[in-house]
Amino acid sequence: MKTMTKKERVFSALNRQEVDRPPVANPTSVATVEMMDLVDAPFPEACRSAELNARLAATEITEFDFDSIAPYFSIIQESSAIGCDMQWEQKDNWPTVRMSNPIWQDASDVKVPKDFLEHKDTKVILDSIKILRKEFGNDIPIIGKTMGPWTLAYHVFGVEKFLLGTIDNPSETKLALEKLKEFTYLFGEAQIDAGADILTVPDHATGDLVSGQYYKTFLQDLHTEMAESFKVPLILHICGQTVDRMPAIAETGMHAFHFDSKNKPEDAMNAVQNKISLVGNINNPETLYSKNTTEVKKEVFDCLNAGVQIIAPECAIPLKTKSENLIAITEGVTDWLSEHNKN
Amino acid sequence: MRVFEVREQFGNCLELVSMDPNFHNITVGLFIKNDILTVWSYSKKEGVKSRLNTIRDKMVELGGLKSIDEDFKLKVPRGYFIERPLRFLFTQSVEKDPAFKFDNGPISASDNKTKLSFTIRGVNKKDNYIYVVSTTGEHERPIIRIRAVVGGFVKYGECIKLNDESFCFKDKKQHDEYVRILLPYARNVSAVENMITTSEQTGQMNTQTLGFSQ
Repeated sequence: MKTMTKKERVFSALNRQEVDRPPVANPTSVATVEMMDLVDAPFPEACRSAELNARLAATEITEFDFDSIAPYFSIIQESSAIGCDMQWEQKDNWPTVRMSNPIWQDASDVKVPKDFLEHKDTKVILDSIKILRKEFGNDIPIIGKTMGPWTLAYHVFGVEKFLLGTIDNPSETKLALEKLKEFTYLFGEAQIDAGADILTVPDHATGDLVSGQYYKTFLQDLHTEMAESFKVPLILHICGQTVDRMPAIAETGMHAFHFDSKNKPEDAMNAVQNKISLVGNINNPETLYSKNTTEVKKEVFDCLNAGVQIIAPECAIPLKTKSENLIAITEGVTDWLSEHNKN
Repeated sequence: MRVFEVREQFGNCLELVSMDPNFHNITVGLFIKNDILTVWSYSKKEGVKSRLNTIRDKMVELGGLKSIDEDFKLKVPRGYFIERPLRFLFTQSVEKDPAFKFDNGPISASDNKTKLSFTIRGVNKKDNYIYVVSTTGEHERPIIRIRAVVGGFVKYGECIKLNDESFCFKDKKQHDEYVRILLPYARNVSAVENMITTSEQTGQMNTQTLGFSQ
């Protein structure tokens, strides 16, 4: 098979078509403290300056030879632009929203600020995508990210209040999600206009918080609508145990699901029945963070043996991940191909 | 230097300190290839070379390792490669004030759970260098705390417990520098484990750190 460009490889994998080699592409983030030093783009500044953001994101290609670039590292850019109370943290920690201090009470409060796309913290991603597109041309896929309404609801209403509302007043919850999805569309479309080829949609209806039935009740239709509306492939990201909702996710029409290491690759493949590509699921907190390259490669093999289409860490990698373990992911794919005489 | 060059030249990363409080919050790693350790940072800040050599020198001073005539590098003498104390040593060498020195006297530390003070003395018995833990101060059953300290050395120093009060290193040799480094950790394993867990959680993205599960 002829050698594909990184973009051809990722798109073929997203469409469950043949590839020259399985792509390595993290739809969330591979930012690390070491790379922040290498390109002098530390957190939190790299989340707030387009130039620094693009510089750090580019290390995914220049240092690790992954098959895509994902410049939106965190999950808080929209929420900052909306006006949430932010904790920007420092170089070695993720910026977060202070959800104990929610800005809205119910669906009636949900309004898109006039300057939402001009706000510094949304514009940084749009401008970074433009920089990366110019720098890397069209052969490397850029993966944008736009938060789903469920995640945004945690940020603007607070986790506890929002989840209690799903029991006390489910129709109010649905109304809030309907209104919040406007942010998902606005920011997603703007990133596509800036040059994003693919969008990740994190929507944290996670296994340790809500059941698979919740996914069907509150999110499946919204995600189906997103898959129909956006003109680029979508990768849904949900942390935790999600095998129970994977059959429903596979029906949404999204191109891929980025899954957590709490789900075995074979179980996940069985659950989605080849209706959606899977991206994942190298364990972050134990394997990538504290184990060695042999262990990383073993997990790469487990994913490839199960048939996972795109190899990636399960989520945004720990900021203190050692570089050698990231290199080991791509090497693991090469080793697997050699062992199976595929290259 | 590129990532693949660092791996090729310096080997695997043994420990990473994400922010050096003594030099522009740069990230510093300790790498090992064969028996050569290298202190390295990807930072290009002015003065970084000097800072890395200072950390290297501090490791030599505090840990009994050997400096070699090459920037950022030091050698692990035979028997000195014991991973956890090396990692603690590196972290201390980065994070402590550059002027910090261990006391030269007896190896001792106060207990942070009682009013006791621990002292560790080494004795050579038939080619086996044995460390004995004792206490001063008042406590109903000091042996409980002594046993805990010995357990700490087993956990963090890969030491062999000889009895409730004594231990030795696997190579049965004298490693006073490591004992000095490990004692503050060995005296309170649960607190150290909490500290390590907290440190490991920093920079992880999961439902806990994002605040999605309380």
